[in-house]
Amino acid sequence: MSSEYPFTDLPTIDDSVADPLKELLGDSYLELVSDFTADFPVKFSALKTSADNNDADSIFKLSHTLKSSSGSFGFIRLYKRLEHLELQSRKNEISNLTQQIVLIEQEFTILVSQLNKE
Amino acid sequence: MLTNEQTRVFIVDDDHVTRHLVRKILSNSGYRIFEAANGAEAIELFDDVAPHIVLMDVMMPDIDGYTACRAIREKENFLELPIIMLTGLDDVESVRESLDAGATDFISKPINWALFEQRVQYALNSRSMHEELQNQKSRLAQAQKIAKLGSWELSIDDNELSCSDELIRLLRLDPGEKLPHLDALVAFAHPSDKKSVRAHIVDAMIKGTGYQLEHRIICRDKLELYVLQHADIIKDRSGNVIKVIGTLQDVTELKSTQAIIHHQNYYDLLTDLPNRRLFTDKVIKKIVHAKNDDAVVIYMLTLDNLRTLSESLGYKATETVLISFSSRLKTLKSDSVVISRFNDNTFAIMSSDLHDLTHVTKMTDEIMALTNQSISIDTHDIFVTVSIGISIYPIDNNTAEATILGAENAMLNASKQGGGRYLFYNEKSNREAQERLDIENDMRKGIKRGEFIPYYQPKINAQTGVITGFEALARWNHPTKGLIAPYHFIDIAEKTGLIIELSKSIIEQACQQTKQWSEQGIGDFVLGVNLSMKQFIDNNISADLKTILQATGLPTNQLDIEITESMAATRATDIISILKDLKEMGLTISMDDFGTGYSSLSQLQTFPIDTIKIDRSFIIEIEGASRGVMVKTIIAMSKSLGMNVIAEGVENTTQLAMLLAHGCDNIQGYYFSPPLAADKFSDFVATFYSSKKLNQNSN
Repeated sequence: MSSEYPFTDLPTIDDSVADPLKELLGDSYLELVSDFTADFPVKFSALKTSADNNDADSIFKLSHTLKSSSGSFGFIRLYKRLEHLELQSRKNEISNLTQQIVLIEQEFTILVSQLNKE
Repeated sequence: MLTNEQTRVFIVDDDHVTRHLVRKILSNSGYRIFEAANGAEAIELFDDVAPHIVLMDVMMPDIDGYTACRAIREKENFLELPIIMLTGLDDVESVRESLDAGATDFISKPINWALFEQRVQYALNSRSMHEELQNQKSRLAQAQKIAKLGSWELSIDDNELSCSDELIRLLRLDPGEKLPHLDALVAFAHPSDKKSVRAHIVDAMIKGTGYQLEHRIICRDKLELYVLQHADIIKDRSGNVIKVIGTLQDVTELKSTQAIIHHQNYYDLLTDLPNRRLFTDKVIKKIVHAKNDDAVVIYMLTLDNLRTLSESLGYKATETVLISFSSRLKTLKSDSVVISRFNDNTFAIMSSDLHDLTHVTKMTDEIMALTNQSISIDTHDIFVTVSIGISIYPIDNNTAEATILGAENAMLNASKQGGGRYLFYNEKSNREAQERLDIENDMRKGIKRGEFIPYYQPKINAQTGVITGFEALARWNHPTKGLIAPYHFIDIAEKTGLIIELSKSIIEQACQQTKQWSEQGIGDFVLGVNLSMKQFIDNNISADLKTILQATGLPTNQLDIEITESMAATRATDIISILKDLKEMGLTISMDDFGTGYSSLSQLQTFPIDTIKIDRSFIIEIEGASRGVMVKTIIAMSKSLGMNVIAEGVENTTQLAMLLAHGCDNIQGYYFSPPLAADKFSDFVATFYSSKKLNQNSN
């Protein structure tokens, strides 16, 4: 099943990406992450609407953008889930996306929770 | 190389987070960051940004990264721009497509930020190095163009030749045209130089050493250029030649400049004649290479009245005179003559075809004759005279410098003596030249006054006792010196050309006399006359003889033309043709002095000869065994060829007896008579037939 995408062993945040970023950006890192966490729900909400409307193209574009941003910060599990969604929407396999969208939302919640702990 | 602050980085990504991160990270290092959120925006902003590097996301809404990349690549001047594509992790297809679209490199997403700046920096460095390389290439090409220096490189393995643009231009080939192999390049060498060029290249490959060679090339448009070719060898680690690299530099202008400089150094600007330096060099060279018998004559000439002319008409007039006189001097020019403007108003001439002093005086007369005509300057007609000094190597001096100096001194003496004359460096030469000049002048007068008269030496058939004819021989009946034998004047007459006039006068007188003797009933003798080479070649002898025979009324069968064996050998074809004409006129031909030259009797067959005259040297020694046999052979073979034989210089009874025994009946010589004046010859004929000499021998 597509939701069983094999990345369950991955951490929420890939330190090999995040650490250098923190070092390079210093204080700016938190600001940028904060911008990301604020912006994510807005775009994700649009994505959900697109899914409801079976708009594959829109799903593809939004999942691609959210994937890129997540990847840039090293939010690897979120990245992987969005990448999976991006691939499916590219192939126009959008008939059963509810579970994936839920999983992405959960992933984001976990991420925010982890970020708050740091 | 650009600093970070000068470097414009263009990040194109629809993800604002990625753009933001790139901006944050790179701007910390001073880079100037420009952003576009999609491909369309990137293309629109591109010209304004004019980036030094582009970071381009592959996947963007509307126009994707590949399309934007291709659009950028189509722009002029951005062919070398690094475009780094941001692709998905392990997305091999994106990487391939990115490179196809013209991307320089790719960075996988998620981006490894730790290495990100280094990747950017690396791409920028590569670009700088590439640019520098291009600049260097461009500078090299420019330098090659300025230096007119083309280069080529030959790969030994595959015989592949590559040529620089400038070389292609140098050979006048079309831009971008290729020469496939070395032979195609060598083919441009001038035909005379091709062999040498090929030999140098082959030699370089075999010996593994470079070379330098100057040669000519013929370009495709037939233009001939001088090139300086350098080549060097490249070897592998084992020492094997793997490449030959060479340059070809157009040095035509250089050669031309060198020629101009050489001309200015060695030629006089006013007259364009060789100057003192070149003249002296040529004399030195001539004398250094002279063989034992070679003589070199130096004539130094000064224009006598030039200073006066300069004072009255100015220096420009002097220059006009010098130019005009030098032009006249140039008419003397031949391969063996070098003419120079030695200094201000002195010219020098070197002649190396000296035969004798007569030749020198003839040349001097020719130089003097150049002043016969006036030189026009404005409204003036100027006459100049020259003083000439002559010095001869190795007679007068034994070095070039001394010979030149000798001629200069002689010239100064000639000038001091009033000018308009020539003097030899050597007093003896002066005397000899003067003597010869006196004789020549005397001869001219003598010919006019009829002092040259024929003497007649009879030719007798000793078997029949009949005087068959005589040979007319010139004598100079000089008013003060008495009778002069030909030995003293024939040589000068030949060299001065007076021989033609002299000989004509003798033949005329002899024909008239022979005719007269016929009319007087003394005898119908055959008159033998000698003709010189000059008469044969330089004049229409047939017409001259016809005129004389008509004027005197002497029948043609009473005139026999005597030519020498050496004449026949020198210009055989010309001589045969003239002799045939004479034969057709009815004249007979004798070959004089036979045996002294190299002709064989069989060669004689080609000449229309009637009579062979055996040279006196054979007769004098006829008593010797070898000469005796030779005379016998000449007589026998001449007879077998149907020719008559006459023996010349017969002086005694023994010689006569031997000749008669060998079958030679016709005799000429002191035995019967020396050459006689006309009145004495009449007496001789009258008394001959009663002579006991003949009776004694015929018995």
